[in-house]
Amino acid sequence: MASILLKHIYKEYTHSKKEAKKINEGDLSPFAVRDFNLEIKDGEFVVLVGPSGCGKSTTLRMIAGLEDITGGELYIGDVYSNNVDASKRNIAMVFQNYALYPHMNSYQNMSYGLKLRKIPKVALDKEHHVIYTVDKDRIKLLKKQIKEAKTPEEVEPLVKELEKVENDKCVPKMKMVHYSKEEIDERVQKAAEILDIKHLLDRKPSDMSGGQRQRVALGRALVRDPKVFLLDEPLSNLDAKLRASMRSEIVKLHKRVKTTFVYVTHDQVEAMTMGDRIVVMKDGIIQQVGSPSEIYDNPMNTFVAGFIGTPQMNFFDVKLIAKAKEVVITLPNNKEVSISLKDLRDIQDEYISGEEKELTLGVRGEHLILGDKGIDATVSFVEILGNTTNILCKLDGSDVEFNITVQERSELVSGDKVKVSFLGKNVHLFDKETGKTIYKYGLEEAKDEK
Amino acid sequence: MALIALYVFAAFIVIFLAIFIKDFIKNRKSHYKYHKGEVIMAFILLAPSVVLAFFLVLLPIITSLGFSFTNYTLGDPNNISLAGGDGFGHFRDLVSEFQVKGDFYHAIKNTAIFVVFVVPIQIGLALGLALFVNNKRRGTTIFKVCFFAPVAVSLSVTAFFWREVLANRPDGIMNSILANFGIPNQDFLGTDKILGWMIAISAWQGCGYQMLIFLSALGNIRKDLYEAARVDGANAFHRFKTVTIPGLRPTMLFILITVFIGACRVLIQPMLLDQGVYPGSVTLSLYMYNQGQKYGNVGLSCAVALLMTIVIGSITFLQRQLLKEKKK
Repeated sequence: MASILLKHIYKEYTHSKKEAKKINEGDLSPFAVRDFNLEIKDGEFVVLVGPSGCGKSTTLRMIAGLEDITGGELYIGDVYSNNVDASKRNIAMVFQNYALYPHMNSYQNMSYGLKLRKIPKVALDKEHHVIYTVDKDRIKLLKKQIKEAKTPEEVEPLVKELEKVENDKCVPKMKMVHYSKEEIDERVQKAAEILDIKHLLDRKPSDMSGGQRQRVALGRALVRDPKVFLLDEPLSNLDAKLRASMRSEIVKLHKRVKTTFVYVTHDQVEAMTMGDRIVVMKDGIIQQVGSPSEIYDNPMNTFVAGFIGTPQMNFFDVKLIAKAKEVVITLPNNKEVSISLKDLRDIQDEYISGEEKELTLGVRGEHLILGDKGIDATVSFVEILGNTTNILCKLDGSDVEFNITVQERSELVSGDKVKVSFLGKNVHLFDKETGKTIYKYGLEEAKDEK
Repeated sequence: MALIALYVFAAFIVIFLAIFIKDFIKNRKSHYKYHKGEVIMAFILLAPSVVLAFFLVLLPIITSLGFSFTNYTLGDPNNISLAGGDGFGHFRDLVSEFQVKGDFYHAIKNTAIFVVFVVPIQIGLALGLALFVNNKRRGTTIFKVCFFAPVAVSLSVTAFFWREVLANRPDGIMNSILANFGIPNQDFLGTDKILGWMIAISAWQGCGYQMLIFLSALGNIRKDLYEAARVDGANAFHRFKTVTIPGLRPTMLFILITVFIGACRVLIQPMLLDQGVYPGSVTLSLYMYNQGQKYGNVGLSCAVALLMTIVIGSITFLQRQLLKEKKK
């Protein structure tokens, strides 16, 4: 088990001529990952989430040692690992396409990493007695102290001790050995039992389904007892039902092995349900780091607010004027809504100075209330999902469409007139220009990052 | 002779028609039916290829097979009789020639040595070069072109070129270079050395083609397997053993068989390099050619061809059986 520390990590790939031109013109960033700072605690389950090309897989591959790090520092445990080869990092990785060796059966696939690895063991002589040797670390330390000593008085006792240590075989001699066949078998069988794949051990990848291959790939990672588990979109090739069951299997596995997990996905449902913490990324930059509920409830910007949550958060371009005890929000259809400042979350001072501000108002579908009072809208489309119903509405007097999620079956049909209201505490307000939240928690997060 | 060919052709057509009728009936019984016209059209379209294959492939093979049991002499088609009275005269002659270590013995020995050395050297070289150029480093395209260039040149041209390079004359290219260092004239193409040069030249010229095949196969090996192996703790050698070699297995089998067959049939190099240094370079193909073309002994030549076909076919079959991937 180990923590991971990523400090100011940058990744730059070789650019094609076309890309280089765009970079020179300032239309494209030269970096696939920019100034990535994150500390992953020992045993934590962190999910990197973001759209395609946001740099999440690149970041994971840099942790794995499969990509060079252009700039910054990577620590696995306390070890500076920028230049440590992937084969020596003692990490395990589960790939999107499983990457099982096609000519090996599941048992061989799972045991391959163990066969290669060497572990320190106490050396025994022919009569199975422990072989002792001198304490090399102590000798090294004493020699260093002798070098650094300034006076002969300091040197003399050290030299005496050195002589004594050099002749004293008191430390068991260690030698690097491969795992024995019995040890390998024990580990593979144990992992196979955990993942319920004992019956698949003699099957080759071509004879297994996607879900079974995925379990074997997890088993291959599990047997190694690695410091860190890295999972690169491992469920993206599975069907929806299997994905849901594998999701909970992985979470259970994490709880069982209590090792650090870094999980990459573009599926926000996976991110929300699996991670202790979620890292939302876009264009190689971290947008927000937090627990699933923090990210859902307090999105730092419009990207995070829109990316996390299904259906997507509704956004409206609004104008806001703060008055003594309330704010007046002008909706796109020029209708005004007053909300008491008490009901809203703490807004940054500059936005309640009395000046009119152009903002983006975000509100999730499940926080919109259908009733007798509120904003007038017309139903465009009704989606019945079984347990919930999504109602797509159009704001009267404008072209803006938004989504309402209700828990019960709705009798509404396309063309029906409705009135929609929302509670102030459920409203998200973002600066229209920067996309950042105007609530005070945004300032606190920014301070924490610094 | 023409009558026999006609009979064989008639038999061939009968077999073709039998297959057509069987297919037609099978199609009528099957769940998914082709339209009658589709089946007829398919066979009509096949017919020209079948007739051509008969005249250009099957007929020469059958004729050659038939000649191997006769004492047919080149230019004397009217005087054909069974070799040795029972048709097996040539085979007895070949066995006795082998026993007395005559030309046939040397041909077999040289061909065997050539095959044993050229197959692993050529395949090893091709694989090595493919691995060398299989990356996106700058300049690899130049190497690819350089390694493939000998393939594009005619065999006879390269044989002539090397004959000039290795010529046992003071103005031979290699000897004139050596002369600058005070080394006396060397007979590179002497009877004891020529086979070595044949092996080297054949491997050099042939490996470029196999390199391209290996390169294409290497490109098809999934990159994530290498990455998984790295994460598993595999070094470069382990990755080669665990990912590359299994990934190249089907290609390796194909290359092994084609190089083996090609090596068994080596003809141009000894014919043009040798210029009469007999028996140091005579191979089975050259022996067969000489018997048929030079001495007009077509029957014996065909008997050698038949033996060669049986031996090559058997070894190829064995290779396939030994190297094909075992299915559960």
